[in-house]
Amino acid sequence: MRIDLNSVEYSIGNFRLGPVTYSIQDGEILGIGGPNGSGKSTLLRIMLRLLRPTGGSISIDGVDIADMMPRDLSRKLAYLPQNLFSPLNLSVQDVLLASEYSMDRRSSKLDELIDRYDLGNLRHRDFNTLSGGEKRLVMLIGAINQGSGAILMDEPDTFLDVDKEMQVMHEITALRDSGRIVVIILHDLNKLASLCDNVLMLKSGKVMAFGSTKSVLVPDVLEKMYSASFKVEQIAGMSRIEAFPRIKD
Amino acid sequence: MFRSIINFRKERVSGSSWLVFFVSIIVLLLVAVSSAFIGVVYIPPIQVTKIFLSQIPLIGHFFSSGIGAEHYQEIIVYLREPHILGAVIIGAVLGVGGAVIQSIFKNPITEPYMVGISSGAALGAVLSIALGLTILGIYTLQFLAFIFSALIVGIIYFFSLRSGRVPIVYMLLTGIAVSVFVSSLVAFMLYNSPSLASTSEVFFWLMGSVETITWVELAPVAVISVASMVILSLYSRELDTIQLGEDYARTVGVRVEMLKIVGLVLVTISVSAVVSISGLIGFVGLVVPHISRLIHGGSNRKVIPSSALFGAIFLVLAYDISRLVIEPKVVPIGIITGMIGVPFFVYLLRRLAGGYYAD
Repeated sequence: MRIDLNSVEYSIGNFRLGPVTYSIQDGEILGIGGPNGSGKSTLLRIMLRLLRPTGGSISIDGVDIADMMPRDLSRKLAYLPQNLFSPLNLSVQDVLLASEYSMDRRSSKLDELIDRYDLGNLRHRDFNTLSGGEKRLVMLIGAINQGSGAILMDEPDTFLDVDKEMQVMHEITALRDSGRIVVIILHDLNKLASLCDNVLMLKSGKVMAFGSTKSVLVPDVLEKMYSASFKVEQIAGMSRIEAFPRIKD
Repeated sequence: MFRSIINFRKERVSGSSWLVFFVSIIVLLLVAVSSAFIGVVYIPPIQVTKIFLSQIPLIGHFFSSGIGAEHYQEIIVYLREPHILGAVIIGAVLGVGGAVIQSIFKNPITEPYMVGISSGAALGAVLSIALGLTILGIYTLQFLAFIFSALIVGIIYFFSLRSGRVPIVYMLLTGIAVSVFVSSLVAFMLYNSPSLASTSEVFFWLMGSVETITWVELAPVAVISVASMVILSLYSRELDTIQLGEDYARTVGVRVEMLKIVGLVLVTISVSAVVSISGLIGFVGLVVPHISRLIHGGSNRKVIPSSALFGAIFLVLAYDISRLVIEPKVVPIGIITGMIGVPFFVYLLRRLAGGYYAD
């Protein structure tokens, strides 16, 4: 599978995003980073066709997503939102069944995933009564189970305990290794560095840099984006990024 | 009692929901049958039983109600039975309509009347009485109530459209605003014509009543209602998904705008149809889906059928009370549903405030 962003633009009020041009290939983890309000979630929502771009287009394997049926699009792209709320008290099981809406239930791996994340005891709980971390795991299971070629994640690490976070990061790597695309918004630069193959950095809607993680997450680029100084070290082949308060002359 | 129901819901095991459905069906049958024993005219229970048995196909002719009991037969078959069956269908439709509207609006305190059905139907009914219209004979009022109800929902829908989509908050606010406007028109007509306001027809219509329902009126309404409820129940998965947010529903492949149109059209048709023969019976559409969720959890796969059953049971019981509370008078049923429904709902909210609906 291949996702092409062709000069994608979006504007609302004074905010302008783009143009963004980028191709995402099978087996790639693309990280989207940038300060608050830079347009990361907006870009993800445009890719999911939740927002209509004011310019440019997005295609999957050469087909414009604007021309795809909702069911077909959901088989290509799964979404892990930042938060999910069930105002009418669906159970965890009901929420997971909702994520299977477009898929053939025979290919469901729900039981296996629930076992892997040790969530069997939550199955009949009211989804709203779960902790933030438990909700994230349930939503992640739903998104993985959808079986789509790409998963678009909006800060999947929020609220997770350290062990669950490691498990989720390992799962994301495994998804990439099985040939799926993962597009992931992360605030933590070290997680971007350790997890992603490529990154796309946004600031105030503009693409500041994109490319391989090692080429983009360097002090020169980061200092243009954030009001801080940065030091990047390579430890065991991985970038370790430290931020310092910027000292004014 | 509610503590045990809440505990039961928390610990529910597979199969228990089916037991609740089975028990609900038995209770509905018992409540509906026993309701025929209640009425202004005393009919000996043995006669009621004989009349029931005499209506069963194939074996009915073995149970004649007896010489001199023909008027009992008329009271049961032509008065009580359509009223009770009317209450069953009206209660079921209001319950299902409430469950669907709450899912579409993602809001536990909405009900079918909030999208303009009640104000539109009231406008049609009061217009028909005020102008003395008889274009469709005795069905003029029902027809106008139905048409105006659908018309007002349509107007609210089109006022809420924003570039091909209906943001649900716009629709809720537009619904409230247009309903207030239409209710003001109704109030103006009633104020301007004191004789109109004092007619019992208007009073009974605005308060809701099943006392005037006949078989001829009920038959088409029953067909529309049952068909709408069956189709709505087929959309329970989509309605579950939309509860989690329209954006999320879109990403799993639900055609959200189409679902909203189908849901709103079917709820409008079925609720307008029942309101056209009963007038405005309040609170069933708000309370009943919550009782269903309390027992079965939030999924519409169970909430829709159980709201139909609980709505039917609730309204038949309210009808019984309406006939017993000031004998030999029959109190409009809408007064009873409000009087039972509001304290019951406040009680439920207090019970649930500890966590069930807490944000």
